[in-house]
Amino acid sequence: MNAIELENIRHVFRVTTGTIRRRSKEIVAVDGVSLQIEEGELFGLLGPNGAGKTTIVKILTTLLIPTAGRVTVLGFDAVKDAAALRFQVGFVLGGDRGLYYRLSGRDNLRYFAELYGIDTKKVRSRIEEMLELVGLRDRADERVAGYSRGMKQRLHIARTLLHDPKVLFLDEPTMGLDPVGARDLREIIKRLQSEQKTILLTTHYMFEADALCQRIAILNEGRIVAQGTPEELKELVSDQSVVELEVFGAETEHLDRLRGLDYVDSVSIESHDLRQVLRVQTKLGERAVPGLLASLENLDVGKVSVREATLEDAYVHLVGESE
Amino acid sequence: MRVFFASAYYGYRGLFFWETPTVYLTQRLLLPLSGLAFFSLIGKFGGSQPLEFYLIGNAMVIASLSGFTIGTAIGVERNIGTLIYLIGSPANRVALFFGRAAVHVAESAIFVVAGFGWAILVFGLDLPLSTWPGILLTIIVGTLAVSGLGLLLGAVAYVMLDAGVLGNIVIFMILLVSGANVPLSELPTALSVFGEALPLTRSIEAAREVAAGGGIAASLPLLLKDLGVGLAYASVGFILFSWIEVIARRRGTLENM
Amino acid sequence: MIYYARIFILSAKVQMLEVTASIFMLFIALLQPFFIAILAIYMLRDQAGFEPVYVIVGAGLSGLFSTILFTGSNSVTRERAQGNLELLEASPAPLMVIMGGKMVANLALALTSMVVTYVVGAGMFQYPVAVEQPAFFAVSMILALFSLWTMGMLFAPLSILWQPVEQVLGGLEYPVFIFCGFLFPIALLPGWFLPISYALPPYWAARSLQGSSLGTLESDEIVLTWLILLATSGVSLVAAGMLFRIFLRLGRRKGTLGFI
Repeated sequence: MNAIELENIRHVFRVTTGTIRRRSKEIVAVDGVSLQIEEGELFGLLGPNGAGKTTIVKILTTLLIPTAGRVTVLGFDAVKDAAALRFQVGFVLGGDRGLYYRLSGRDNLRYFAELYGIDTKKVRSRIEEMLELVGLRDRADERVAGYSRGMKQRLHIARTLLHDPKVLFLDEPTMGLDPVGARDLREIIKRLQSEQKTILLTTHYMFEADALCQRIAILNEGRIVAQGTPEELKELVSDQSVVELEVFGAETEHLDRLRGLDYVDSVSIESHDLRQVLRVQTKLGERAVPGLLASLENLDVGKVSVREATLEDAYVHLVGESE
Repeated sequence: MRVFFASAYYGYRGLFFWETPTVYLTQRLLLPLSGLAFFSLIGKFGGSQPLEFYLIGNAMVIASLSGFTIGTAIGVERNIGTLIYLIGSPANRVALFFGRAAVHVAESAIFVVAGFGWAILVFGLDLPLSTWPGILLTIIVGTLAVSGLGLLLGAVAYVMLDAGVLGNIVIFMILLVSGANVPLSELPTALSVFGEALPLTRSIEAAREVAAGGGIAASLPLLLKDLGVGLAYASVGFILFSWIEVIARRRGTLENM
Repeated sequence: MIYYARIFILSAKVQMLEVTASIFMLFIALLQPFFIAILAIYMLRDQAGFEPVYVIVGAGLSGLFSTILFTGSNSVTRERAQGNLELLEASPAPLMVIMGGKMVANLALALTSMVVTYVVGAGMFQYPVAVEQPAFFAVSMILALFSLWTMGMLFAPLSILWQPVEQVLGGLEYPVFIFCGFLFPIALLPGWFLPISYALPPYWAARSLQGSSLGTLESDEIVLTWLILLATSGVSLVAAGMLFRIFLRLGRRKGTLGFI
């Protein structure tokens, strides 16, 4: 059975600019998205900033009424049955806002336990259980103002799990966390998945989606551009290899020259301090290397390596393509 | 000179970007004009002075708007973290500092004029045409004097307290001890001395004299004194500002300010 | 019902911590009525038949109203600024119940205005301050607080859609002081302003509080004032309920619950 169904969802924001001459323009945040997510599934929504991920999460959590389309979560209509649905779902929006800084972590939880009408007799033990789960027990009585980013994020997770929601929406939960904090959080997400919760996770970290999600949809400019298991998405680039070239001082003309080669599918560039890494997707594999080097003749080239395409490359391939 | 104008223009535009026209008019017009009406009506109800006394006094109090907006503008600068870049610039300090105040002075003077217009139209304040040049002069002097205090408030707001709250306290102090609503002679000595030490007090007195037909020349000494008081506050503000800069550079605490 | 009551109480507790931490709100509740009371006493004390208790009650009411005006219109904005508004709205608890609890905390802060002006009158100026009809005064006070609570509830939802509402409402301070006759009788105003005064719950609150403290109202007059006070408060509460419903729905359509 499907836990989440989106049918042709569209959402348009109206933005006004200017103080005296006010102009308004429409921004299409979500443009005809349909999705089915099964009960117990951990589903990843992947896309660059501004792709419409957060808008979709807000629609699913009843915070936004879509301009058009139908949304059902656990059989409840997210627009008409919003009140009933709210008991069943939990959500975390990325970032460190959304907590009462003057209250302790425990008091934040207590407040939300009341808001979700949790049985008074169980509140205390439930809060302890959640604090234990996210590892905040020792610091629970300190004011949230003094929490680190990672602690705030774990408190968010605890807050949203208080009422034992069947469906969870996690909007970029690891955003802004340090590597250790992010890893801890991913462990928690894995544990929740093993408890048969339906989870929709949005992220723009590819490896995160690859490591956690059973299925992934890639969103770009409000539309779903690809959908499937991580393996299926990798399949899209399975005949591709990636040649990575470490170079110094590459300019646009070099990239253009590479793109002009008929056996090159896409080129992306990543800069680190002095050096840059060019990633060239090609079907030729290592046989492409001499040709590539030849077209970069006047450039200093360092390490060259060839590898199979990963999910990340599939993502670059898809998001880049539709631009 | 360029620093002065740039500081005036961008300081004003950059910091009031969030204000919609409605909010702007509420804060600059509705609030002062209704305040004028409120205190004048209390005076009319049971005050010891004729209604003109309260109308002129409270119209002049609108000048304190400039002190308030200058103070908050500098306070905001601290909050949004642009202070460090100002201090880091090679611009002339005096021009930078006083340029900030210029637009607020002009703006507030216009709203004081509006206050007089409101007192004339709604409360029937009798102000013969011949007194207008003199009134205009007292308005400009009064506004300049209060903005001197505003510069000091801004400097204080750098280091401590919410500038908005500080500005509000000053406005209420002015309402109480400047002679706008209670003649200085009817206040306890401590408060009347305090009133003498605040800017605007003498400009209010001058405005009443001019309105009564006293002529500009007669009130010039009062106005000059008020300018002097304003300048004194501004100088203290400037010294405080320079001192903050030195301390901040020495301790490397610019980012937190 | 118990669920709502618990949310209500806990929201009040949370808000108590929030509101007392704001220097601006403390200024509005404590310092502003302090200044207004002193100023009004200096202005009015030479008047024939000057009644200190009139000024104390009037200046206190100005503080009560201002505090409710600012905290009420700020309560939604503040939650949004902290990123909590979406979490509250997405919870099954009705936002109006949450805000209702918060408004009680705001009211508690507002009540200190009355204490401040009493201290100014009885302490600083050493006036013998006594209320003529204590029982009537007590009932009037309770009803006045209820009516201010309903007004706060009316201000709260306004900023769901448009954040500057807070600053614009702030401009209504003095007009309300004027129309409600906190420190002078509204007979001083042009006659065609009277309907505005009569429509405002704080006018009836001021009338019953000042009437019962001065002993100038007959019992049937004061009961009538209470009834009108209740009726006008009822209207503002019903209006508040409608605004919450309509604005939350529009807010969910336009996405103004997160950022504006």
